[in-house]
Amino acid sequence: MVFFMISLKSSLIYRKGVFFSFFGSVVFIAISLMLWRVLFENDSDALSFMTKYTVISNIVGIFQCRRIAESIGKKIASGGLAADIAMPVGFFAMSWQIELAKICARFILRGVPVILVFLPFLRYGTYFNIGFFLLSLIMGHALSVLMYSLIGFSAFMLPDVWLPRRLADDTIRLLAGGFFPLAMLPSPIFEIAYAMPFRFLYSFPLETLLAPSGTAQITGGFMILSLWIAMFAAMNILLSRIAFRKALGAAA
Amino acid sequence: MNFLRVYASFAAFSLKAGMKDRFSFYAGMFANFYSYFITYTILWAITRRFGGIDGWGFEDLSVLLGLNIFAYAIAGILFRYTVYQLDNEIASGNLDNCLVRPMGVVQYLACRRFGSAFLGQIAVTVIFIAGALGKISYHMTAFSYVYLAASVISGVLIQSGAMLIIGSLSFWGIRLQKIAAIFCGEIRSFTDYPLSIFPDFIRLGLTYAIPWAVINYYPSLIILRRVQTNEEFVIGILSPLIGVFFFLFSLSAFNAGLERYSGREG
Repeated sequence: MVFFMISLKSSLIYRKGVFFSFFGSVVFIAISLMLWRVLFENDSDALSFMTKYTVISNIVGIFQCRRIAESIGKKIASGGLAADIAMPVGFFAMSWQIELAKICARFILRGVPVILVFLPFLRYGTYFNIGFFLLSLIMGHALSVLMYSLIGFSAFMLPDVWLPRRLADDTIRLLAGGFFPLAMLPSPIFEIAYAMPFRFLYSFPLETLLAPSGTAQITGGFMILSLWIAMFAAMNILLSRIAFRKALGAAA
Repeated sequence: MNFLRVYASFAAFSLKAGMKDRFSFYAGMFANFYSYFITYTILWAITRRFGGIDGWGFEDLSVLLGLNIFAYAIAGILFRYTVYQLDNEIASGNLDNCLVRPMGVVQYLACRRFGSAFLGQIAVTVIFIAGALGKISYHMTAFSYVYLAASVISGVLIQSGAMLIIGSLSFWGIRLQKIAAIFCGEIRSFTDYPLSIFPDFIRLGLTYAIPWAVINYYPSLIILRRVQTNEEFVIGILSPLIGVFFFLFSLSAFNAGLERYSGREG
């Protein structure tokens, strides 16, 4: 956890830039709330749901580990991977600790203020399955780490990782349910979104928390999420072994 | 006209240089195309679910959003990688080189790099705007097309002016630049939707304080025949003129900052 503490301290010290992302979050949420107010003007329950959905979705987004793709990609591109493999700490564990620390710092410096600003909208209403929500948040974070680290390891095959990362970000924007629930998507897109793993980053945690779901539905969701995590973990192990072999070969 | 010839030469060189790394060249365009295609898809999903936003259908919103994105893309081709990131130009010493060129600093910065990645944005907005204009229920007259062209130029001038103002803040302090970037990025997001859905103070702020609404909202009201008040009509008709004045104002702000600049070592 040494890397975690060092990265956390560094992120908390250089915190001035977080104000700008906090302001950006507030403006984005405000625009979304005003949009939902117009679209749901005749349905106060739906408006209340969408209000909570929008604010909590913004917080859930903080726990996505997008930047691990760049940090791994840069290490591979600069040749630093060979040196990091030789360290007595697993390369993946080290990268994850650093990114997790940044996420924790972002939550403290941006997430908590956003929650406080929009607390009047969050205070009232019913929340379901808080324990399952927290578990889905943790597993969703793990899934995002595995998805984006896969992109990072692809730096051995692609000239740059920013393109697949950007394509992933934009696809997740549509298919993960971050902006609105997946049920609002038209039928063919909804079916595609439901089949993809991205819904476990936003839609599954949010619907676990905000909508009454049966135990069977939640259990089924966690089982599918576990399968996706296992699949991406296997792909990461495979790709990282290829990456390490190439890095050591290049260093020799 | 001489500047246009010089710019065309620089753009051709920049494109040739960019195409040496074909992956990055086409990847940038594709990434921008895909990103805004997703934005349009989200808008389509919302309008399909709710029948529109405050009476604006998908075609109307395509024109509204498209004017904003198109103008930003053209301005980005000219200034995004140079003027907008002037702090990098200052730190690297490139701005000192610009001062000794036989052309204006702003002109030379526009020539220095052609933002080819924005071509993807242009492609996707042209597709959606053309599709939208083909589907709207009334005929576009010759005046409508002339006005559309003028409002695009006005939008480009306002977006370019904003980049000039943000860039010129580097002469006073980088932190000011980050604050200004919020006004250009986050605040401008309000104009992705019809301003009628927001409280009145937002529309007034985006019209009279920071003219982002003049880029796309008022021109859209004219083009789509949605004008309801004299104020909307006057601002819409005057939007090309507002764009010119805003750009001239931003140029003078940039030149005022340049006069303070005493070189990288100064």
